[in-house]
Amino acid sequence: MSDAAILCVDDETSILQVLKEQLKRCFGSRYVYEVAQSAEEAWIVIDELEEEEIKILIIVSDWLMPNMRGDEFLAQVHQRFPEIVTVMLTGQADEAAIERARQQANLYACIHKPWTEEELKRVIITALN
Amino acid sequence: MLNLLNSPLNTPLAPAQLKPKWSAWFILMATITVAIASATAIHQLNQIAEYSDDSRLLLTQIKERASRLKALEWEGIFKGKIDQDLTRELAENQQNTDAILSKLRQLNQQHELDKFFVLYARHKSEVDISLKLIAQGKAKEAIDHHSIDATYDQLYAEASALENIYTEKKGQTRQFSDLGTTFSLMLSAAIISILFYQFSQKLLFKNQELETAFEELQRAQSQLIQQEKMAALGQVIAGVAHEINNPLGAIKASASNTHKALQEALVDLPSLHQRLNSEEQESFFKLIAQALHNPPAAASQESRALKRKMTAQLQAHEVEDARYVADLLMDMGINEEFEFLLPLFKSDQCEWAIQFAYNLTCSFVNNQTILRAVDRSAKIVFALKSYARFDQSGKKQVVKVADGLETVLEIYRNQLKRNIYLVRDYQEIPNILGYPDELIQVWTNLIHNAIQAMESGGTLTLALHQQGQGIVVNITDTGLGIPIEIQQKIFDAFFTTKSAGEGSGLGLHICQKILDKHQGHMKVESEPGHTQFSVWLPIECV
Repeated sequence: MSDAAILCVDDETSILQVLKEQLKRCFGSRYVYEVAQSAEEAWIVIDELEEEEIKILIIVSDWLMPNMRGDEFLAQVHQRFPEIVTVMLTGQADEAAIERARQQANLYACIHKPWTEEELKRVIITALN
Repeated sequence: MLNLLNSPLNTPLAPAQLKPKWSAWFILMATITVAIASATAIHQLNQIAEYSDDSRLLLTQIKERASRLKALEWEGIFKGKIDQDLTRELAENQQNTDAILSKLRQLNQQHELDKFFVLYARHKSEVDISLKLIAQGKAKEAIDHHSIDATYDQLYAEASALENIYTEKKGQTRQFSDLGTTFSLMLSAAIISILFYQFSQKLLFKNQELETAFEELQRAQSQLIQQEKMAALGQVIAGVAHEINNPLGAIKASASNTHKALQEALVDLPSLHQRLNSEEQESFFKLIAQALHNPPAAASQESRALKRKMTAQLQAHEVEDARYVADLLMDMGINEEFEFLLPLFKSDQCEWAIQFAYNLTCSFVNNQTILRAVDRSAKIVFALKSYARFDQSGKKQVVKVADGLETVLEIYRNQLKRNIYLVRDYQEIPNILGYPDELIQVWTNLIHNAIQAMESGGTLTLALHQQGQGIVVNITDTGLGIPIEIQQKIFDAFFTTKSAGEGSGLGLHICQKILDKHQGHMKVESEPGHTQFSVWLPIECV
């Protein structure tokens, strides 16, 4: 059974639903896929996965979410788990935020909405190799 | 923005259609000349009339004197001498006559009296001869000598003729002068009318100019409102774009997912009967039926716990990739009741069958996602359209105040994601008559200010209720509040607490103007942690 996970964070449930389905189609049972609607919920998921001894490989996060911005969240993640690859998936190209995420969260890539499955797949494959 | 704003103001007003300036002056000068000329003519005519009248009177008097002289002469004849009384009366008569004659001579400028004077001199000399004879006591000779009657009659006839001429002349001159007066009056009336007409024309033109200027001003004001609105939109447009990219992303991914699912399903379809026995197939179709019926489980702590439990149960049935299969089942809306899947769990085709079922059914979920995303995009586009709309008809329209508020909330949706909790307290209110585009500007300003006041989060409350003949919109934030000393100034034009370039300082001033136009009003109460803008708008007859 897989012990590696990909976590998606976005405040829009429909984005989470389609994103997760895409990942499942791309990578099948190779990874565990979890989703969270906010940074707070993401932390809970991270803790749960840690408890299950499932290692998070990648976090794909939206930028504009209530309460906490994606770049801020990814920076916190990076601080605690520097080995997790951080990817931003956003509809709003806020250059300053992306730059901040690059510096503080070692942002691997930023995918712009609307994205293609190939784009997503390529980013994840290259990130995990 | 200012350039755009200036353009309508700079447009030259309708070209001046004033007649050349001298025309009025020319008319005035001509009028004065004509007036002086006609006054002089009338005066002269009157003088002629007067002179004719005087002459006529004098002639009458002369006639009287002549007849008196004749009577005195006869008295002398009768007495046979010229006594003292007669001498005095004769002297007196002569004096009077001389005075009248001298006056007549003065009037005799055109020599029309020459003949009369000759006749008078002849008559006088006759009378003098007769009187001399009487004085010499030759009364009888005086009578014999007498040709006085003849000269008298001639004189009398001439005087009468002259009197008639003068009467006629006076009548004629009077008629002329009357005609002149009438003409002058008519001319004056005409001139006054012309001048008045010109004056009215100028006034009318000035009035039109003013009206045009006023309309320009109003247009400039509504354009200013629109500019402010669009400037506010400019600040949030990136966020609105993000909002559209979300549903677009969902649509694109859903379509791609459906496409892949169908491709896989079509490949798998022929092998269904080979891979699954009838019992397993029954279980498989039940799964499909349930998946079509159940909504997918939403991500939550609860659903994750459920998934872990299900994973454990699947592991107990020795299902391979239990967690993955559990995830697929959860996404198909299957959670606790899954005994009917036992035949599949036991099958070595378990994962294949569940993936196949998932591929067959996921397009329904994806289609739902697409429909929701399309609705969402349409809502954003509609909000943008309502927001950017600029009605120049200037006519009041039926306004649903809540719709206007919702439009602005949609535009500011991602701004609200910055730690702001939104509370809607909309009571049933009637529609009002107003200018929807301009009211949107009011809501934009108030909501924008409220959001800015809550940099570090808070609660934005929008409340609607009816009050008397109007409706009340309360926009409340839990931000820092407005210091009491500037509360009075916030509605002033160009007053801003923001640094240069961030706000024009026209926002609330424009709101106030818009509310004035609606005969509504706005008040503010503020203390730290509670700031409420309260807008009242009249309902009017809808």
